[in-house]
Amino acid sequence: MKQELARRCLSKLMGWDLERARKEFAWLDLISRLKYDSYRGYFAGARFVESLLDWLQQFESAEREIAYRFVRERLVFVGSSELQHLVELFYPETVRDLLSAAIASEASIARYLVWSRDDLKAAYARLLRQTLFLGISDGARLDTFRRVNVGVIRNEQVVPTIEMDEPRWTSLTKDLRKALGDDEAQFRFIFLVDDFTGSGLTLLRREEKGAWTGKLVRFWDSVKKRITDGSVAKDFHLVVHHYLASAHAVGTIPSRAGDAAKERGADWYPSVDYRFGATLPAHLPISKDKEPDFVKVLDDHYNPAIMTPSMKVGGDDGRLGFAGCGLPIVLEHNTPNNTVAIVWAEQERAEGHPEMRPLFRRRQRHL
Amino acid sequence: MDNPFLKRATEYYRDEEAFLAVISPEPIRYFLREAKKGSLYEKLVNIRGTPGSGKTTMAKVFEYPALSALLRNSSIATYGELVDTMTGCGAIVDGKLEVLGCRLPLETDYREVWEFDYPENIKLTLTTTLLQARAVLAWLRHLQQDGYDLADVRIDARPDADAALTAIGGTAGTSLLERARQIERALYKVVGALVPPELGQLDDIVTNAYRPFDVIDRIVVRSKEGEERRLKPLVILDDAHALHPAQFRGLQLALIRREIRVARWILARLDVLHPKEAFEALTEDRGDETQMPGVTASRDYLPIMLQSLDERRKHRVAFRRMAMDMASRYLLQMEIFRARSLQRLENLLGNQVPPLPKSKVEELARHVDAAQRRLKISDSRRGELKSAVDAYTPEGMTQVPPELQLAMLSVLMHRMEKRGQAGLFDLDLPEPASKLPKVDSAVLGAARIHLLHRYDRPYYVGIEDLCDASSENAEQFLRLSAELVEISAVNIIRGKPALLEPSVQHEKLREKATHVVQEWDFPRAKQVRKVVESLAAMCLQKTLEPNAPLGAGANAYGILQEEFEAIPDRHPELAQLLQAAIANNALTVVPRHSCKNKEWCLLELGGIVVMRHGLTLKRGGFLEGSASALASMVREGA
Repeated sequence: MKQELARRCLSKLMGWDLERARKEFAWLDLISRLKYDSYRGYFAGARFVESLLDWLQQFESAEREIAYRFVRERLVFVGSSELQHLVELFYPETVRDLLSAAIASEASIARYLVWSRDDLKAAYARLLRQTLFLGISDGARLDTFRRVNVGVIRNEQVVPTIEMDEPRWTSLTKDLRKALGDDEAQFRFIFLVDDFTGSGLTLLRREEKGAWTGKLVRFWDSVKKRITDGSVAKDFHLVVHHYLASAHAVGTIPSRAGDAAKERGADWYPSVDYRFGATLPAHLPISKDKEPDFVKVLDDHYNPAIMTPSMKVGGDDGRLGFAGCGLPIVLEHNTPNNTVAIVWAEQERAEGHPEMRPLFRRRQRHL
Repeated sequence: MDNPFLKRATEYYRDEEAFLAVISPEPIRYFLREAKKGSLYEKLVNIRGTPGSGKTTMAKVFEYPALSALLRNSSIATYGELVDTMTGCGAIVDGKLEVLGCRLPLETDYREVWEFDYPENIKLTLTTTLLQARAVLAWLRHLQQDGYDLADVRIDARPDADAALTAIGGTAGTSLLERARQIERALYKVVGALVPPELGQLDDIVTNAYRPFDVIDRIVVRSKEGEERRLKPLVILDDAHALHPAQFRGLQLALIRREIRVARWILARLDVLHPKEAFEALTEDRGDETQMPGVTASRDYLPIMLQSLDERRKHRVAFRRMAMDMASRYLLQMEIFRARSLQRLENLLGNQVPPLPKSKVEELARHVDAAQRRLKISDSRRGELKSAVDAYTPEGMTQVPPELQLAMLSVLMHRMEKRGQAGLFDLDLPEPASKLPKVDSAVLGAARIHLLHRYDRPYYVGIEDLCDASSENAEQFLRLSAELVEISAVNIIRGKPALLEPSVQHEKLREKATHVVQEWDFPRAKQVRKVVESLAAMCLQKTLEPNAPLGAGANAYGILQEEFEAIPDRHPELAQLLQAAIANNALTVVPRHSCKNKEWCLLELGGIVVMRHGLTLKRGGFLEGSASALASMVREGA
């Protein structure tokens, strides 16, 4: 659709007068070019303004202004440059910090002194080589991470998935030992990396029957075999790093993981650390108390058919997004399911429930 | 939707072709070609103007890369006029480049030189040496970027300058470049140092003579085909107001010397001048001897003011032509207008003011009736006046709308009263017809402005008002136009006509004017704002007098010419304030305005201020004042 036509239809749909149209067109032009048109779920001819027009049409005229105000004032779009920045910070702010702390602790000295002694600098280099970086999902951007740390981290230390078969582990271990010239060398640090966490439930949660499940559990089942075969050190350190996290996730993940560690005893990681590149403000989520009008729009335009089995992991009601997180967030490459459903859900009208049209169509990773 | 009207500063165009596409040849033609033919490359050229008057744009056109791109694209019809203008300016001769221009912005590190604890002559030498080295580097860089090998570049030196020639590295392009680099590097080390070296510790390379401007006559380049071209080197020193005033004057003196063969222009804002100098420049009574001994403006340098001083009507017409041409070029950059063949801004600005609603016309009629009674004007006399009004049809109008006729009638009746038509004891005495006030454009102008203030009838309408409101400043014109162009584009998107109704134009221009005045942030802006707003309020009071003694009203404050010239000496604070106001388009000086057998200097309110206060854009109406009254207004905080 032509941009001009889309704007004309939008102006008509919203009933904007000249002044309002002028103000909104200026904003739409700016924000589309600066951010929203780069959303990877869009394609030529149907980018932000066209999607916004289509999205607003699903609402009654009185609701449209409320929905538009949400987009204008509450939506948070994390663009590629912001994410790139968080990826670039990962090594200097998190990896180097933890590894140098480990070296300093082993040598019983202050951390800053690590860089003043050649033997400790060598120990740091060795420990860095004994570190693995694994992607929890395809949002982990380990390709970018590898490129920005070229010459510091080798390709053989970076794997885009946590689900590795035995030959892959063997190959990684062989490369490590060859690089260090040490047939006994083991991996001592493993970083699990992901782009975003809203609730932390995908990572670790308790099933109805009381057992623990999630990606951390699955990875433990895999990595403990590597401890047995000597690829991974018995006292290895696991770091789970998210570039971006909700305040809720930052507050709950460590305590939930603490419960898991306590209950599982020896059948758990020897030590785990949780790190977050940036934390979204605690006041960000949508709530009925703060925005009753918008929450009513969410209620009136919610179709329970969007609840896939993976969505149900977070509860039976998805109008505020997975696990009721109520986030107004969109990432440049996808929209998290923790975001309010009206932003990303796509569902046909059925059984008395309304059609849901997405503004930022979500590519489902979990069905 | 990109609005190129908002991207005024031509420095933002990185691509020469994109830059040339928005360049109007009109200002170059007006200021440089027609006015100053022949002297542009011989004497020092001093170009002064307000911010946004187009100094840098003109300079950029004369830079080698722009001229070179212009010639490359000379077959494209849109560049034809510019090629013709540049040929007229002597920058292009027989379809080939004649000038090798480089522009050096002085806003960088030159000012820092003046902060050193060295004697002034040393600081001036450092400044001029650095400038000369950078000019040589820029000329050679432009040639290299155009594909010339330095082995094919040499200079023609002045025949009597052997020693100076050796000091600049000889005649070959490569050795010239090498020497200029050494000098620039050494000077940069001094300029960029946290703590400047003691005078005695300065490197010889910095203090030794290096005067390429004295030596270079032509820069000769040989093309791959073996053809030689002898280019006139031109250095354009832009934004010279960034220099220290003493540094600026020293530089001017250094560049005035007639033995210099290199063409040199200095571009600066009016602020750079000493108030006395600025006042003299503004009144064209340049007693430059006071500032530069032995220097005479017309003989030793060429002053070009990008502000109207004389032939104001001609200048205003020229500016309108230039502004419309510029607007067309900018409109062409906008797909939304290009796709609809909307290429002329004037075609987007409707100028047919709609009639006032019937109820308002009736209300106005009641006011006129009341005025008739109050002024004791007989029905027959009113009838005569009405007939005269009915018979009046100004040029460009088929009929004067009823509300304007009523307002004109009101003005005429009040004028009758001023003439003593209705005395206390001669109520019914008929007046001779010869005493009827004249119905002319002044009365019509008064009626229009009275209706603006009484009924908010659109007043600032159409392209000519837009141009006139810009105070002959390109940047101001584009800022005002940007507003209207954006609304027109939004209208198109909304499926409405692109043509802007007079009421929209009027409202948006006044809103923008208010915004601009509120946002002034130049030095002394606060005081300037207070003073011009007080002057505007006084003008408005005069304008709204019912008999409209000044026709469309006043928009200027007049001071006797001799009083004005004495302001820098008698009222230095006022002089500084006026200089800031003039340098930033808040006021315009109109010297030697003859009225009532006296010679006045008018301080005309800038177009933006005029619009903000609903005054006329028509020139000439002024309040008679004095320098001392204005000075006390300034002292009392206006």
